[in-house]
Amino acid sequence: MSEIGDLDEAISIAEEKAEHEDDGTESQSAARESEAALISYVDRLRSGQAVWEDEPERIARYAHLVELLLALGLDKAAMDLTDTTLRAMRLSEIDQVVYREPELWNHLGSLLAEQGDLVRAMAVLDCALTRAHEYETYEVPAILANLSVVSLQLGDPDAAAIWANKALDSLKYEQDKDLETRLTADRVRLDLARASGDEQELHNAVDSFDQSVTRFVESEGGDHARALGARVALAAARHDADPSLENLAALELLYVTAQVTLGLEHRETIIAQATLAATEFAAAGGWNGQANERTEAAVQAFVTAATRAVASADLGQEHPQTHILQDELADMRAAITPDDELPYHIERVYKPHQNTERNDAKRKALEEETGIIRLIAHAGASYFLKETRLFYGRVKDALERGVRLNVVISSPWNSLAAFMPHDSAAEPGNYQNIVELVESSPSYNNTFLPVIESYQLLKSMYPDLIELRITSLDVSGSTLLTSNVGFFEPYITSNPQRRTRRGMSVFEVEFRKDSRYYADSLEEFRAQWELSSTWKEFETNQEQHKAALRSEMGALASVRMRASVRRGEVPLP
Amino acid sequence: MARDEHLIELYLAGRRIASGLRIARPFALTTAHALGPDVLTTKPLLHLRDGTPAHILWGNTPSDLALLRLELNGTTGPLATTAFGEAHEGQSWRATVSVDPKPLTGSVVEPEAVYHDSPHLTVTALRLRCERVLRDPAAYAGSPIEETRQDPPVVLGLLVKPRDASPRESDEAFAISVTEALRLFNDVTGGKKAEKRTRANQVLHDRGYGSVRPRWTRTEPNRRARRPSEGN
Repeated sequence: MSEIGDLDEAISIAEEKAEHEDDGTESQSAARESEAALISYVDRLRSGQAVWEDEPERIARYAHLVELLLALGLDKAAMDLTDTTLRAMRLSEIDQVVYREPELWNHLGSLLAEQGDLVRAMAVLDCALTRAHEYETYEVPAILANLSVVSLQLGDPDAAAIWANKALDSLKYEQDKDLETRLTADRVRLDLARASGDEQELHNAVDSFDQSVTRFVESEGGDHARALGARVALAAARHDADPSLENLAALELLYVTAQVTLGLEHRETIIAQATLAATEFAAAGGWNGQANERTEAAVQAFVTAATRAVASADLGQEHPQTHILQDELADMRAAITPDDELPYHIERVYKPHQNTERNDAKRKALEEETGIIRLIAHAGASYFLKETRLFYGRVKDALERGVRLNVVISSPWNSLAAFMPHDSAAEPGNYQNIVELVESSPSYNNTFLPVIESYQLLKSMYPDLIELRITSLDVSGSTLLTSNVGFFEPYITSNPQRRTRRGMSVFEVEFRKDSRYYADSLEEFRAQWELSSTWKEFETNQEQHKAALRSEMGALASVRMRASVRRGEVPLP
Repeated sequence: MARDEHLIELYLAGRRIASGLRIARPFALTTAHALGPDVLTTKPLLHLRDGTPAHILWGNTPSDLALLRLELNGTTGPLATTAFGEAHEGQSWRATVSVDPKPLTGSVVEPEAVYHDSPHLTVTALRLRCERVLRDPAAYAGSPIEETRQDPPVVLGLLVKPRDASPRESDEAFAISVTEALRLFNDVTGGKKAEKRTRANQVLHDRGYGSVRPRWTRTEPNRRARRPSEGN
């Protein structure tokens, strides 16, 4: 296929592909060629090699192309084109407002949300709302409803409730208009009511959502994926409000309906199966730890749903919805399996050349956490020092969201001080000089003290959420545990300088909550937590710790003889 | 898990009268003609082989279907692993019930053949070709049909009596699809037939007018220890 010349040609090729995707009229090689041509067109737009058109109606067409690329599963090209479009719009508006149409911003905001970029989606939707107010258009309820969904997905239920109520309020006098908006806002209220545990609130939300679903089905038909998704959510909420077999059977029938209407691979069918399995699991006592044939079959059904989500073109391995399903599955398994019967399952192993992937996975885990983060680390610099550019920002964001953070780090006065580097001309660490050697060392001054300083600052801001303890015991590796996943990087060396250097020198494993490694790591964390001192206790007893180190150095006379070991050299026999 | 967990057998006063298709734990379908007009009118209590009581909720002669509600009385079994699918032209199928030693198999000729047409009700059925001529096609009615070579099975529908009044030797059979049965009994699809779309066009269609699609959210951990539901 020759190079795509302009936007209209790109759209027509993408529409053609969408139309004939499954019917076999496009040969495999032609499909690959048209795909490559679309990707190359987006690349050329990005690099300024293809003509960019910036009139508002053309921008709307670019947004349509993004939509088509997403539908075709060309996610990377879709994201690149979204970026290029938003960048061009910002640059065009340096001196004046060019894109007045709030629906354009709303559309782009919803596309960003669809691609999982919630923070930018929020900003673009905010812009849509400002334009809608400024130019008094009819788009306001739709924008408010989108803001409410995105706020909920960002973990801000209070804002979600405000946006959703506002959206519904602005539709109060137009009962039969904007049914999709009403459905969206009512769904947010339903999800919030289910989470709140307030029975009256749940009943009200169920009633209101029921009306929205009925109107939507009357207008769009019950086979509409949104209608089915909404009916599933409604049935699950009804079961929450009244956990009867009748309500469970309604969910079973909806799952059958989704299978025969949308097919087994459709996103809403997968969600219907997951909803049914999760509801069944709860109804059969799974969360009370009951392992019986019902809870076990529910877990199996959930496994099928999560596996289909990974294989689905619409969801896939990296989709936030897939992660939510996998986290729930791990929780379900862990709830009905005694710790010592959990499998030693490793989700992923990161080798030294996969340091970036490892750090990205940890960032993601920190971003997704809503409960508690537990950390055991030799020094903790990656989490407490902004300049490492690793996890400080994520830690602070988590605290801001109300997440608790419990940290155990090594005492600078533990026996590993024997490895303290020193000037080759100077005396190696011994009974007399070890404390001074530590106090003048880069690791103490550039890591330990700044980490403590950073901790104290965070403690002053989030006194009830953060606690750091210091252990005199050696730690076997660095452990990060969120509510859903764990990471463990073993230390292969006792030499702290080789443990804490940037990057990875051994490997790191990632595991979920339903792995025995998680249970064992949690037990280890609890043991270290109990055996360590709070910063205040540590400060008070610091002289004793120093004295203990001195006395240990006295006992380790042979270490003095082998200074090369402390430099990390392998001792000769 | 039993392979044919979607298959039920119905007994009246200890005598086997029909087989049927379980579509959910408390709901099953059978054929109206196998129950007969008397049973459909008086609606006596039927039983499954394991003694589970089965109530006739509704009989529908034009589609030859009857809907049953199974009284589980707190003995809810586990969720079935059976999947349900929509049949397409040329698709191979097999009957779950074997009347002869060799299982009945065949292919789908017409996925939406008119089975009954009156001013008030139109019923469509899968028109099927059997791989052998059946002396009495009605003998197979009541058997679920499923996609061949699938484990767990993917169920396509329920064989019903022949469309023409007098049963005679034929290699033609009819089955009501699960979709059609749900439309007839539950109206869960809102009475509309889903339009066929490519996967990409389905994604575009699902997006609607640009509302962000909500995600399935997890159970709130502090709400998990709710009382279990076991009541009917």
